[in-house]
Amino acid sequence: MTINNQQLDQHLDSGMSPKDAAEFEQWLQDDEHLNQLAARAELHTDLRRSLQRRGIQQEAMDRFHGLTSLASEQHAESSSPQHTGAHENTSINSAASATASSKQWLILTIAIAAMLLFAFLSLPQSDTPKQQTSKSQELIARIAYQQNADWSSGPREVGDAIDGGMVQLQVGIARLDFSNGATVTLQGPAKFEILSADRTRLHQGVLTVHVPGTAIGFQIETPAIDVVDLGTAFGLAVGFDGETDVCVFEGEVEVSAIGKTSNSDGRLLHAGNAVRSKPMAGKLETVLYETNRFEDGWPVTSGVLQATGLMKFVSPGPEFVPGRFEDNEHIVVFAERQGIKLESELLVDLTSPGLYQRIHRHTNEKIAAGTTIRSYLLQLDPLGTRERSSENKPRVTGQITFDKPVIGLIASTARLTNTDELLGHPEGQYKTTRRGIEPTRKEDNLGRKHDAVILSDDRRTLSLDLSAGSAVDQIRVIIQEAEQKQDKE
Amino acid sequence: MNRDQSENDRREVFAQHWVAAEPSVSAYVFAVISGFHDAEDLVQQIAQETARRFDQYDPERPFLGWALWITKSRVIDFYRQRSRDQLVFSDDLLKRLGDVIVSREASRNDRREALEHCLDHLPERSRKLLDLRYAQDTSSHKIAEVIGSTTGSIRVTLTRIRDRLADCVQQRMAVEEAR
Repeated sequence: MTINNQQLDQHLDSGMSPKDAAEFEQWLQDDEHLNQLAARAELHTDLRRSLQRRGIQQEAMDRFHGLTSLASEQHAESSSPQHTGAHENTSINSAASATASSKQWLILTIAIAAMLLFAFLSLPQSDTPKQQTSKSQELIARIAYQQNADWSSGPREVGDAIDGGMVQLQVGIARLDFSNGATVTLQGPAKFEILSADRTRLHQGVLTVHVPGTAIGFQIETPAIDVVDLGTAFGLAVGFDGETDVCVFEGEVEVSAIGKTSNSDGRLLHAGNAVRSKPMAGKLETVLYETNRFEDGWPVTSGVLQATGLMKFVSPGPEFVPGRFEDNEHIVVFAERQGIKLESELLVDLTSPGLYQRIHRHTNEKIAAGTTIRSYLLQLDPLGTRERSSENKPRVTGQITFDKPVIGLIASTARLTNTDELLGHPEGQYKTTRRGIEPTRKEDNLGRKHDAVILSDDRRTLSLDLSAGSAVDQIRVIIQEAEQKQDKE
Repeated sequence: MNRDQSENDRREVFAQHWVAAEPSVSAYVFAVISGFHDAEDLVQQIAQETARRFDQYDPERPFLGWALWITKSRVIDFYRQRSRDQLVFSDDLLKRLGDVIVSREASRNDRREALEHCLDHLPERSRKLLDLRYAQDTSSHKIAEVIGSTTGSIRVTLTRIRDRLADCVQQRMAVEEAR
């Protein structure tokens, strides 16, 4: 009885038949045979790691070479001189260094992973790390929303499961909700790969991500940088040549440049900061915090699927919070808190779909204790350029669609103020003076403008039609994240 | 989330240990669990557990031994959760394999380096096949479908390529040793 390499590979790859298994066990009683198995297993694990890493490097190089050959064909006139110039050095060295450095890559990758792993395990709030290591068949993510999405693999629908592997979006926007709570919005063209429930790879394109406490440690690799999310939100952009920009909107992330040497230059990056790196550069360059590229995807990540008319979702970043950011031209939408589980019932001004011309504060509508909610603040700057007393007050209209049902609106000053602590943005600065949509000011009644607040029947869309000169100031929107359950914990 | 200096130090010490031990732990897990997805998931869990329990580690003793001790219990847990009809290594076998893995540790990195070199010199076609299997997660069955061959023939070819790489690694090690 003997076991050959063919059978060893069969065991390592996909498992042996029960008949062979019995023989195999017998065969392994000899230490020399056990040693053979160990050697073969080493080969499998090393091949797996090495080829995966080489693959992602090579891909970035190929894209880059494709780009440069295209550029040289087209001559200098049409290609951007800035672009080609910036990458000359990489082009010369890339082919040689791709192979020469791969063994350091191996070591480095594990080192980074180990550091990061330890970092997030040491965080006080993660002492019960709910790491959903994918049990093969477990659902990893679903498409939560898409808009003009064209997938390389053919049509996909909202609600479709994404089990892992490569996901390519040619154009449009798509949001993937991970089972562990992480939310990733891709902006096409993007090439994104899901390696496991908490490890992903952006090969190319732009994404924004929000990671709640339950998914701390969520990792996104790119050809140039590894990013580990420490409970936060950030944007990531990977160019054709693998050059990567990381822009942190909230909280902090751990970033490490992947380089030729073991100087990984890993560091903690806080909200309002941005870094950039090229593949193999091995170092991070601090760049200007600039969020333009992320402004299509960010609202979707934050739960606002669409905002039209004068409704505008704020840019991502620590500066864009209520009370610190003002915009006279728009009804500005701020994301406030997420994942708040109500300990006691919450009094709000309005809970049912319909058209409202007045929001009365004395209607004691309630949201039940135990409900998990999220809040947004909609704000129209009343001290804007428009004259309150002007005859031709422009109408301010806008519509906003959320990913989950609106279960309450708060529009009275007292209730807004009362809920600031629970639902307001932690960095926000909230006034205590009059600020709600209260139809109590005399000038509103004089104007007789027909303000209207409409909550659609499906509770997802809120429309505002207001006269700019009215007393409208702020509305807090309460979204239901999860139904209240008995003994959820 | 400020971490003090000692926390940072601890983190670095753990990282150093894990970097050194990971290839051996990984080989152990690959050897006893079929299919690299399950094996990789388990290695990840083991990494988390060793990090979490790092303060229990006695620095006087070899880290790999400690890590393999944790590994062994995770493997046994894995066997329990899984369907019955798959191969299960006995407790004794798991222990003996641990000893073998430890005995191979000293030259583990040299073999990995040699493999990198050998991969660079592999014929294009073989490299492509390995890429399909390892980097792109394509099953032998699927590869056969795509290139119009049979599953059996793809498996045999992959085994031959691995044999060739194993020989190359061994030769290279011998040359290095002779120097």
